[in-house]
Amino acid sequence: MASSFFGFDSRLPRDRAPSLTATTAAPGRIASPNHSAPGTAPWAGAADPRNVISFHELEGLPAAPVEDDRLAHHDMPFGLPLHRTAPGNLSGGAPRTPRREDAPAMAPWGTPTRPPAFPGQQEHILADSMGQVSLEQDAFSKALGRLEAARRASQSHLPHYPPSPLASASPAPTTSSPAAQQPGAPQFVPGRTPPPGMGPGPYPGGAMSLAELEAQLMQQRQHQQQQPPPGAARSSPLPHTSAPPMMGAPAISPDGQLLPGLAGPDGSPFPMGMPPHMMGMMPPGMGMGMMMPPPHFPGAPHFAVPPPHMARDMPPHFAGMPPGMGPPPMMFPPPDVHPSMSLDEVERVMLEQQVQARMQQQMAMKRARRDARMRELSKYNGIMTQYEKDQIARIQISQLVTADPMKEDFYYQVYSSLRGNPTTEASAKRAPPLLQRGGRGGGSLQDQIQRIVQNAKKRPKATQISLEGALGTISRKTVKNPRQILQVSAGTANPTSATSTNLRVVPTAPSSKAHRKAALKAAEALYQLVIDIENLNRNQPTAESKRSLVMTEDGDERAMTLAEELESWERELTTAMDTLWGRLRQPDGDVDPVVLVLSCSKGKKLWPRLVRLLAPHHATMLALALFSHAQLLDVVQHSSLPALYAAPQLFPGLASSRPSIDALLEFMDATEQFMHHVVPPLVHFIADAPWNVVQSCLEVLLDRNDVVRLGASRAGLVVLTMLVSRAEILHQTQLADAWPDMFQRLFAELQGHYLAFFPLTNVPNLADELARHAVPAALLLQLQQATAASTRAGTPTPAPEALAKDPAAAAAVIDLYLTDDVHVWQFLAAMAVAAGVDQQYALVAEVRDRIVGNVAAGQAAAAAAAAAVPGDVASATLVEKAERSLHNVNLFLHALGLDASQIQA
Amino acid sequence: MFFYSVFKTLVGKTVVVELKNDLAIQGTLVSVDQYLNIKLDHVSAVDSARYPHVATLKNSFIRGSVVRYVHLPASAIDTALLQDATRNEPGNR
Repeated sequence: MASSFFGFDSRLPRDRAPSLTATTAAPGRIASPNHSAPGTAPWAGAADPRNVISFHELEGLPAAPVEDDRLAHHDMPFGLPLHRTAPGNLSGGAPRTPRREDAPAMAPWGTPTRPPAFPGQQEHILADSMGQVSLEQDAFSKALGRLEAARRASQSHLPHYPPSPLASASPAPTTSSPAAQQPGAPQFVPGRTPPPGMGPGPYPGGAMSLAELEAQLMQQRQHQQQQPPPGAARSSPLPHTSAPPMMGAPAISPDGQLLPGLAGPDGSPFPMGMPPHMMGMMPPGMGMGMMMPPPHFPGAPHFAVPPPHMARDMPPHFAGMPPGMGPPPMMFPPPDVHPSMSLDEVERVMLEQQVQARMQQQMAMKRARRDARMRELSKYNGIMTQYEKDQIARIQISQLVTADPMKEDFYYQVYSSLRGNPTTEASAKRAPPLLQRGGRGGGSLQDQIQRIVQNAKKRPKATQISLEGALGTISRKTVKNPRQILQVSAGTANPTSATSTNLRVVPTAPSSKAHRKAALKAAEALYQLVIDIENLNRNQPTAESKRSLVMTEDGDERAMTLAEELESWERELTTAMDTLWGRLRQPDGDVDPVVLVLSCSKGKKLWPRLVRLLAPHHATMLALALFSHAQLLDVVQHSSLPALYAAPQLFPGLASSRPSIDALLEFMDATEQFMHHVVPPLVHFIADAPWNVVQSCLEVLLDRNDVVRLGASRAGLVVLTMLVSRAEILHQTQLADAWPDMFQRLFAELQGHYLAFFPLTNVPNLADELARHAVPAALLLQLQQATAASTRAGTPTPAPEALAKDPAAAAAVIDLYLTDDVHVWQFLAAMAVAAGVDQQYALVAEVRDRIVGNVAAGQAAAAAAAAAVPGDVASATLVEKAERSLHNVNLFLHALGLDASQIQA
Repeated sequence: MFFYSVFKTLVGKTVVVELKNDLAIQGTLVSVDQYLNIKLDHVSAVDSARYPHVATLKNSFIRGSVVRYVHLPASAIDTALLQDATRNEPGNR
């Protein structure tokens, strides 16, 4: 035997005559999936891994040693044939009857089903799955039909790949089936390598990989080139269309019959669908680019035999080879010439033919390569049945489905309902088919899920699922209760015993750590309650909603009626609301819960949701509580921070406690959060409130608070403005008779302090400080938005992210924010509207300097704009400030019936 | 179920998955499962010079246990809702 360097017999076909003759003399052949007629080349069926013939037994040739790595692409995993039966045992390796019918009837995870019941089924599945649409159907289907008939006649080659452990355990069906085969036909021993003489390649059918094929063909090309004339001579009598197919095309012998014995590795007569017509396209002349010359065939008498042999052996991705029958590569067909054509024209025609041929070759090669790749990819198809795949999908889904998606899957549900669910439809389509295929068809997906969930609840499920035939177990619990990897120690938190909830002492120092913690805890507790109530509100029982079950006296379960359901729901809701209200009004030591909750930004963000949930009378009480403790709010208490920071020298006693920039930023953040979250609901509330409510608010405000302190803070000013303007509106509609007296009181208290309300005019050295300290972009955004209300529209506002990196620009934003006096002017305007003439006079007298200053600044704005260096932040700020001053002072002046233009600065 | 829920809302967005072996892969999120295995489409390595083999990939399936970080687009997350969802978690109620 030739050296096994290649792992296969690399002798030339002409030297392999002994084996050829031997096989032609072989008695019968095993009908393989694609080769029907007995008596044809016995090795042809070996291409299909599932029906490997034991040629060794046939010929007595030793098996070819095959290296493992060659088998990597091959249907012999692990380098071993799948079924090692004893050599020489012809009947032991008899293929078993498929037991496809067993599979569905048995328990899930019982015997896996066999691969296709009849040999052609696999190809059918393959063909379907690969969407072979490019086939020429007529000749193919005819040929296939003939094959099928022949195949069914001989039932002996039933594939049993891949084997299952259970299958191997059970006794193979019997020698009766071999008996059903053609008498004397050699049995299949699956997985045996064909003898070297039977095929050049390591594949069961002797198919080679592309590289080997190319090597082989290069070899043959040389031989080929030495024998062009015989090839040419032979080619002329043959019409091209009847040339034996190249690799991958059905073997159609010159008389048009489908040559049996042609198969690709998967046993399809069209391994990858080379229709017969392709042969016509086979380039009659293999161009220069052609690497794979047709295999040399020894001589005319033999040509019927080697072509199928070679054709089969060549991997399907090798196309463009009219094996053996085509003209040699370098030969061109006799050109279509007229005697009258000139030499040039003849040459041109030949060139065109060459070009066309080359292109066709390339296309055919590409197609063959693609087909081969598809075949390789789908070589392992069919290992699991659809039922088994659904089984696994069902296990996964059963771990995922929840009785209460709003609880488990909260984020996704709410997010998609907020954004308009673009994908829920797709997911609904995907899910039902899976469940239905498991035999649960019918009913909506919801019902199916409910059924799964209820079944799950009834049967106590094991924590681990282990399926027969599978490795390992599937743990059931970890999806919803994942194992906690981080150990968070709760020991450092302030311990609060259950008995002393009412005696909890909250330190009142607003900036202490414990106070902050208490505030956060209170906010969290309220958050929990708010979420519960919101969930309850969302799940109000309707006529179509699911009923919960209740036990009757007999011990049975019964679904509640709508009325009962509603009742229980209402009870839950009222309980929750009461808890919430209790929590809101329960003082923690000295601190009112409202103040406590509002002292952290989390609480400020929670406030609007909270207020929305409360009943109107509760909301009123809450507002009153807020007003009564207004001066304890953090935004009011720290209102002197900016002044302290900017000009500590003005506060001699406190010069040593200049606040840090952190504190300043925090204060600004808190103020903005307050204005953004807490003030709007309050505005709504007051704007709709009747006079008695407004009156009580005002009273509480004035009685319990130092109005001057309130006025010094931005938030306090806003609240006061709201109340005063509302009262005035009510008064003007004759609803608020007691208002003037109250206003007098207010006016008297505030008299002489208006100047203190004004913010600082500038913040020095801010840029330097900020260079050392990063400002969060979010804060800057907020500040920008706050000042945008009073700045002229159209001024460019740089993006906050860019600002955060530029200390000068950030400083400008903060400066603008801190020096904004619009609230003061708004308050003054509200006061002016409600005031009598001499009160107005008094007002103007008090803030005269300010008025004049603002007007002057505004009038200088034009000059400032001219003098401004474009792009310079400082000068831009000046311009903005100037314009803003003018705008703000006009707020007040217009309330008085005046305008800034009337004032000479 | 919490992170599974979050990732479900990110399907279709571009994310960068950083693995425990320091490979960072950018792609569009196709699907995620209960184990937080991630399927990405149009895959590319963030540092493609260092990981040239990723250039040949079109899609990828990443086992959940090898993920270190997933970088998300900030606009795709609703932080207030996220906080609420965290509060709804069974362990925290």
